[in-house]
Amino acid sequence: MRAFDFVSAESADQAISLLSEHGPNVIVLAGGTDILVDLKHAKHDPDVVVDITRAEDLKGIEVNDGGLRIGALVTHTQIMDDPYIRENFPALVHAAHTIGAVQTRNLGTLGGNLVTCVPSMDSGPALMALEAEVTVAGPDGTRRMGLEEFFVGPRKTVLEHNEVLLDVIIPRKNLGKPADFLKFGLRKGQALALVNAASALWVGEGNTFKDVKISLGAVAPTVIRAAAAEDFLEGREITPENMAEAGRLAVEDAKPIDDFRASASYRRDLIAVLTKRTLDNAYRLAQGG
Amino acid sequence: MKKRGKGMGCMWYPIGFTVMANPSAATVKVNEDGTATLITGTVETGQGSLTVLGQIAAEELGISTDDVHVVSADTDATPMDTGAIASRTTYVTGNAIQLAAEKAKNILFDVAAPMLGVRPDQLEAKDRRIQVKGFPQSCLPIGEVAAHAQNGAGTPALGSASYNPPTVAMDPETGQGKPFSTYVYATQIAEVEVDEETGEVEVLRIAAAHDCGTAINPMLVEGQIQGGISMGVGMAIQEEMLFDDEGRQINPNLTNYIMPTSLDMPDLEVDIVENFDPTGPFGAKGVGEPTAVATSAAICNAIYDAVGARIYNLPATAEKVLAAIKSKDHSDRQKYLPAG
Repeated sequence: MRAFDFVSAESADQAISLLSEHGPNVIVLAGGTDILVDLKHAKHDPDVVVDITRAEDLKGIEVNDGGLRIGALVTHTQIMDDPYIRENFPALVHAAHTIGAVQTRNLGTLGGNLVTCVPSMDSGPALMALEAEVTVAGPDGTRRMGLEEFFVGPRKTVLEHNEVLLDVIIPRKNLGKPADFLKFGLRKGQALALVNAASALWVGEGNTFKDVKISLGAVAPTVIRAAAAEDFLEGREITPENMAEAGRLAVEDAKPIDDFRASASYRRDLIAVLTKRTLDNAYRLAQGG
Repeated sequence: MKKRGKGMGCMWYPIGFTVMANPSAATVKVNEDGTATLITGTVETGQGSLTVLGQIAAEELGISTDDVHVVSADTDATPMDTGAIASRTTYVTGNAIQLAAEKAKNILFDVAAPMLGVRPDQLEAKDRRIQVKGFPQSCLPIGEVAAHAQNGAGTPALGSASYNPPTVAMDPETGQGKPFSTYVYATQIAEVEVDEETGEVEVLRIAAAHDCGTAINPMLVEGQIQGGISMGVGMAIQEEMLFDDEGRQINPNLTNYIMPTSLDMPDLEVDIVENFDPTGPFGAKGVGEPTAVATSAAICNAIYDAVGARIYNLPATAEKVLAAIKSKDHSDRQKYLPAG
């Protein structure tokens, strides 16, 4: 690890100006659970680290006209403890709960998890299934986009060096939308996902799938939507057979890798099972159970 | 979707190997304030052995464990020890300590006998006193006897001893001999839940019954059994060193070398089966490594009971279990058995 300068921002605007001033070889410090490890292993070699942990405008969870807004600095523990999220978005609570250990969840932030952008991130799938958007702020103002656009590749987002992620917004139309998240790792605690998956759905007339959104993690360069499975389900009757078929179709949307943790073939098996189960659980949630 | 099964694993395990020298040595001195100092080469690795060894010295001297100051594992000052290995510390080092403490105690008896007007063999050490057997009111505080041994009799109360498990050489013709001093026995029963669609094995519960000779410190024995089972669970379903084609480990870190977290641990029920062994210190044998031996067999038998899939090479990862469930023809047995 090489020496670097450390500056602290008290607002998003100040962070942006500090990043512009010191860039481009700058990194942002939020929870630090990824960055500190990377600094020690010299994956990053910044001239300046900009600490944003004191930027109050990046904190807080609130429901407003736009929907549910979660500030980028909200920690995983805060998501797990928030009464509104617990009541309306159990999938987000499940996802937060599977991240790291208690200490990681106490420090690690939602924004950090998204910006670090590893394919196996646990925050991504449930948010993507709920069609979450992010707000990115830079010297020229702010822009909003879906997560599909925000994620570019492994450890790569659209963020420029002088931009920060402000918040994540679940649109108002999806407030309370039944959704479920499941993760499969090699153990129960402190595990990387081999596959994770989330589904969100409304139950349409005649017990049919309506606005089904399915998202998968750890099976492609970024978290992805399982479009073929979604298209198949839309308007069809909600049956175990259709859920199983959606699982099989979700496999076609993914490009899982073969590595020492698991074979691609086993990951494909998991995609089918997890997709089916998240659909089933989301449906049970819609039925009030 | 999820199926439950139960399985059993039984084992015996040798304590105190004799095929090569396996000595421990100790010095015990009784101080003028009635405390004792134990000097031993063995090292504490978190299992609590220094507590147990202090208990052995205290019991022999008739004082409290709190009264024993243990000095250990200082290569400048302590005797060499074969090591905190092979589940031998309580048995081998404990025997050396008991012998050393007995020597120090005999000096105290020799010094106290004329003071109490009896023969040394009529004395016992108990409740921090040297007292006449059957007449405990006829007694002296152990510190007073130790002070008199030092300052009056001129025979300081200390003893040194070593212990090496008795050797019976292996007969080169028949291969017969006595390779180990004693043996311990255990049975563990595991209950698991297997996800038939993912192959994931959840270990729900393990009941473990272990013979360790006399349990000198039952809470530490229980802790060792619990710790050993956590290693056994890792061995059964998670832990595996993976290597590339050139022999370099692919997973040389705790992110990718998977071992159990507290969330992966089953409910544990531990039963200590005490079984006095006349060759051990106060009848004790050992409990270290044996605790992890039966676990993986019990878990793999439970997996078979749950889903009918036999796993012949560990760990029984979810991927491997799912493959076995899918094949179910058990022909993969050939793959994992040694040739011939």
